[in-house]
Order: sequence, then C-alpha cells, then structure tokens
Amino acid sequence: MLRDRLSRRDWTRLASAGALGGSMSNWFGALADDAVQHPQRKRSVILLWMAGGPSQMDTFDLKPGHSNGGPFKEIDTNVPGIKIGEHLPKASRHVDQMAIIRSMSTKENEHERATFHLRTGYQPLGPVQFPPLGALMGKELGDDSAALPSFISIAPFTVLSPAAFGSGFLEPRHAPLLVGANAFRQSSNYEQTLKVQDLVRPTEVNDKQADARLGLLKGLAKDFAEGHPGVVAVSHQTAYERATRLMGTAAAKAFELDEEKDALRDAYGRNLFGQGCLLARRLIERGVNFVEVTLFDVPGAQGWDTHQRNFDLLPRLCQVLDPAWSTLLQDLKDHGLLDTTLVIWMGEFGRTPRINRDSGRDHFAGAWSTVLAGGGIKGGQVYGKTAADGNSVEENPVSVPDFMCTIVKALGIDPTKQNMSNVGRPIRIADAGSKPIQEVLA
Amino acid sequence: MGDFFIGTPLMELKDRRELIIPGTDRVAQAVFLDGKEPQWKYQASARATFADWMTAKENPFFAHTAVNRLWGQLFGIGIVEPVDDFSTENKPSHPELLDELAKQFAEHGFDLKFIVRAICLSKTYQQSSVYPGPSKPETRLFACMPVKGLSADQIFDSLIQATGNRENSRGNSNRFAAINSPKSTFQQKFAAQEKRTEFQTSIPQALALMNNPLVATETHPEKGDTLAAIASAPFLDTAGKVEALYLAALSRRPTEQESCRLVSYVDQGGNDREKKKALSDVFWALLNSPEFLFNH
Repeated sequence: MLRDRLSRRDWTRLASAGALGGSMSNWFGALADDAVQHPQRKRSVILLWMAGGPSQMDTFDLKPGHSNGGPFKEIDTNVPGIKIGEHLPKASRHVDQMAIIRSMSTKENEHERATFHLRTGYQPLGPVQFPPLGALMGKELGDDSAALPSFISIAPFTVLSPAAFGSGFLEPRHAPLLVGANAFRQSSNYEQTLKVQDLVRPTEVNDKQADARLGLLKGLAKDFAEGHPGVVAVSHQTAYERATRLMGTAAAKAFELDEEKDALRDAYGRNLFGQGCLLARRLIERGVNFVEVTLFDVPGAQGWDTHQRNFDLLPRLCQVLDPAWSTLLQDLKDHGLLDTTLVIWMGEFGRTPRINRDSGRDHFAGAWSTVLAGGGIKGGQVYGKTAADGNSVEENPVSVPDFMCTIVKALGIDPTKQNMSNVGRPIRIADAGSKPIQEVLA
Repeated sequence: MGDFFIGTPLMELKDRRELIIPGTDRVAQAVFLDGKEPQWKYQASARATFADWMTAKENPFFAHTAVNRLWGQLFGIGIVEPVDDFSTENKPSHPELLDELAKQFAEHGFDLKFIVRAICLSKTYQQSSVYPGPSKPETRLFACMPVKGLSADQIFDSLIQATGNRENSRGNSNRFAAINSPKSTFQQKFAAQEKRTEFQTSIPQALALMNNPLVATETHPEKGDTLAAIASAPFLDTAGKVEALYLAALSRRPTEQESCRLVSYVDQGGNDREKKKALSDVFWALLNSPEFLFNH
C-alpha cells in the first residue's frame, strides 16, 4: 500500500493550495436531468439472446416429411406462404414484422467460442478483446448524460463467455449494466432478480443524510482529483454521478414493473424472461439504447442446449418465448417504438438436423436461423434457403460479419467505423469485407 | 513448440520429442525457437530441457521480459507496454534502463528479491503520485507515480480491514454457497482491467460501494464493527474520532483542514445520537473516496 507515502506536510500544502477553497463544481448537478423524453429518437435495439443454441429445425426452418424433421408440424403465419413451427403460434401473428434468415452459416460450434463470435461479430483471436455488439452500439448511440446506462443486459448467463458480457477493448463505461446475472434456477424469484443490485440505499439513511454523505464524498473526491488529475479520478466522479442518477426516482422507476397493468404482465408471461422483456420495453421507452434479455432458465429446461429430449424440452422453452416475444412486438408497436427499435432473435448457433439417439439435436453452425424484426427491417420475408435435409445452405449464406453488418446498418451506423483496440490497431465495428443483406433492410 | 509439451501434466512422457501434426502424417521434431537442435539428456523431459534453454543466461529475452513484468506490476505500466508484447513495433520507453535491469537480474542469478529491492529503492519508484501541475504528465515518462486501480480482492480485503468485519474475511470453500457471498459479488463487479493506470469505475461498482449490505452494515452507527467502537469510545473527542476513522480507512491522519471541516460537520449534529450518525457519514464518505479505492 502506498497510501501513507504522502507526508502530512504534503497534504497540508495541497489543501491550502486551494483544494478546499473556491467554488466546487457541482458534479451531482445533473440529478434533475430528465432523459426520458427525447424529441429526436435514435434507433435502439432489443436482443433476445437464446442461450444454448435453439433448433432451427423445430422453430423457423421445419422439414416436414424428412427423417430429420421430427414430430413437429408447420403452421401458417400472417404472411401468406411463410410457415413456421407449431410451438410459436403467437409469434406467427407477427411474421409481417420479421425477416427470417434461414441461411446462417457460421464457424464456431462450441458454446464458449460461438457465444463470443455471435455477440462480438468476431471469432476469439489471441489477445484482441473484441467488444460485444451492445457495447459497440451503446458507444455509438448512447449519451453519457442520460439517467440510465446505454447498455443493459437482463438475466444474462455470463459463465460460458464472460468476455462477451463486458466492454472488450472499449472503455469500461461501455460495459453492460447486468441485471439478474446468472440467476441460475432462481426463475421463480423473478421479481427480485429483475432489480438492479444495490440500487436502493439502506432504509435508515434518509434523503437528507444521503445528500450530506454525497456532499462529504464530493469534497474528498475533489481534493484527490486536484492532486491526481487524470482518467482514474475523473472516471470515479462520473461513475458516482451516474450511479446516483440511476438511484434517482425517474430512472429507478423503470424497474417498477408493478406500474404495468396485470393483463399486460400476464400476456408477457409471469416468468423471468417474460417480465424481462417487459422491463426491456420500459428501458427502451426511457432512452436505453441496447437492451438484451437472455432466455435460459425456464421451468423444466436450462437453455436451448437440447442434446437430449429435444422434442420434450423445446415446447417448454417456446411456451416462455412465444408469449413474451409476441407481446413485446405488439407492446412496442402500441407505444410507437417498434419503428425505431430493432428486435433481434438469435442464439450462438443452431442444432443438427440429424436427430441423435437421445432424441436430441447437437451443436450445428452450418445452416441455421435467426430473426430480425422492427426498426430498419423489411418484415414479412424469408431470406436464404437450406437443403431438404437441413444439412447445408442452398441459397444466400449469411456469415456472422454479414449478419452484424446488417444489424449495424439497420441502426443507421457506419459498419466500417473503427475503434482502437487493446493491441494498438484499429478494428472495424463489423469485420472487414462484410456486406449488409440489402434485401432485409427497410 | 508443442513438441516440448507432449504428455499430460499427470504423466509426462520423458523420451517423446516429436508430435504428429493432427490430420496429417507429418511428424514434427522438437527444436528450439531459434531453430537449434536441443542437446537431449537421458531421462530428462522435453519440458525440463526447454525450461533450461529458456532461462539460460544466454537468452536475453527471459531477463528482459521478467524485469519488465515486475516493473509493470509495481508501476501499473511496463517499460514495454503491454508487458507481453515485445516486438520491433512496440519499443520500450526507456531501453537503457530495461537493459540494465535485465543485466543486473541475470548477473544476480535471477534473484527476484534483489531486483524488487533495486526498483523500490529508486527515486522513480519513491516519487509522489501527486503532481502539482494542472494536467497529468505522460504516464510512460514516470514523472510521478501513476494512480492505479485495485484488484477485486484488494478492494474487498481493504473494506474488511477498514471496517473490522471479520465474518467475511475468509472465502467460502463451498463453491455454491460462495456464489452470492459478499466477496464473490465484489469479485464479479471489480473484474481486472487491462490498464491499471487508466482504471475506470463502473456504475455497478459505485452502487456496490455506496449501498451493498456489507457497506450498509459497516457504516451503521451501531452495527459497524470499527465505526461503533470509535463512535462510542469515551476517551476520544470528536477530533480523535475523526482521526481514528482516517487511520482505519486511509492509514493516515487527517490534515488540519480536513479535520476542521469534518469535526464541525460532526459537532453540528447536536445530540449524541446525531453525532454518531454524522460520524457514520464521514466513514461512508472515506470508504467511497478515491483515496481509499485506488493505489496512489
């Protein structure tokens, strides 16, 4: 510890040099900021992250009649000619908003690497700390003076690839605010899980005392910053300002799901993912730029990694996904937010067309599906095509960089824009050589 | 390179020095990075042979890399930075210094204590972190000691030490019980950052330090271990209590100005209960202050 290396005289000299006198800049002054209403609304994103890798063969790219097909049936959607799996009946009423991409062809088929690949747009490569999409987009779209952080991750399961849930080589302030992280087998306790940790101060500390404490801290922080100019001290001040703003009534209210009508809460589903999607809408409404909701823990199943009993587990997962996703799209529309909010549905990969001996499907990156809907997307279409057995892409393969490039374009951001990386070379938002899928963009 | 590491850690194969390249019929022989053929000794494993070569006095990179990492550990930034990127494009900030340290390290039989002592006794290391000018000089010039972030364990242990909370001083050996322990929540929130000299505080970190149950209890006038003991000490006046809190949190006494400011803050509280509450505010502010949270 170097703490006591400064002599008493140094401190006195410092203090008399003005650390205590003069005007103190009011660094909690922005407390009253109301970031809820922006006249010109920027694009925002909700990523529905399907941890484990959902089976395209049973959701969006069924092969009825083929031995790989399995027992599930296709159903009609609200777009003539487009059919999807029978376990997504509610979502089928919103296909007019969706671009279903059936030709994802990616390179990683192991959870950890694929999670990193799909969330950052880059394959894990040596020491380069690629940031996740949410951090990149939060940086481009975000506003540091906002009451809420730009990137919020709801119920993430970060254990497999912690690096894909940080800020990568971007500044740590672009890391997501994690809400209910790794709430493994706590889905019944979703009300508590969906709160920001440590957001509420101890009950015995009232407003007046809290202000007094912050006042004292402000004095100490200012003294320190005068002797130690630089990013460390500044970032300390900024973080405390933003944390204090987040604790303020307007921002904290975003997490009060009780404010919503019971009928709407029921429609989303009274579970962690359903209520997480409702929270996502409330956050988007209040100006958060990128919100992700992870579907992992549902009654009777842990994520989409259905190596065994796929046909038993998939309906359980869909029972949670279907009402939440369809209600989210409708709710965004009702709030006038769907035109500016891109809703992404994806996991880290798909699953093997071949059914294994445990009635399961294994990891498969060769030919699988993702869905884009809402802001910036031309809905009501299927893009790409897989073979009759589902084993390969027959038309319009989509790589991860192309997929990322499409998302970034849909948000009105230049995918060739570069950020300086931790290895001292600039790296593009979407990998060099990637192209957006023009057909999918509105 | 892989050829040196054939065999699992449990059962090392002492005489295997080649590797079949996966997916081919080609066999690769173990050779050193400089292309030289190793002098194999009877019953000496390939890894031991490699280690001998790597740490030989003739290998200039070993000493350079080792002293640079040590320097990086002590200053938060290496003479070559990042510390693991020695290349022609990434030049050292002070090449002569690096050479000299490496030379001395090798000449003293790679004695870590010797080289740590040498660095710590230098004027450079002993400089104040306080810089009198309006803006910080370039960190790589080592004109003053950089302010560095603490690791999650350092922050947590500092909190435990300052607050006197013994309950959480030991980690929980049960992995599952430990998942939501105070220690693990701090470890999650204060993940290591690449550049300690540019440490950035996050919102969840600030929230944890302000409101976490551990901090809430320890800054409660009656429940906090250190705080309650100091607040109710009959032999201390207000100035003595403020000083004791400074010593507990910052390992130093308050300056006259600091003492004046805080004593008058505490005394304006009025009755004994209000004064204790005001002392808790002082302690809370100290635990959230940059002086407590950073290495400087």
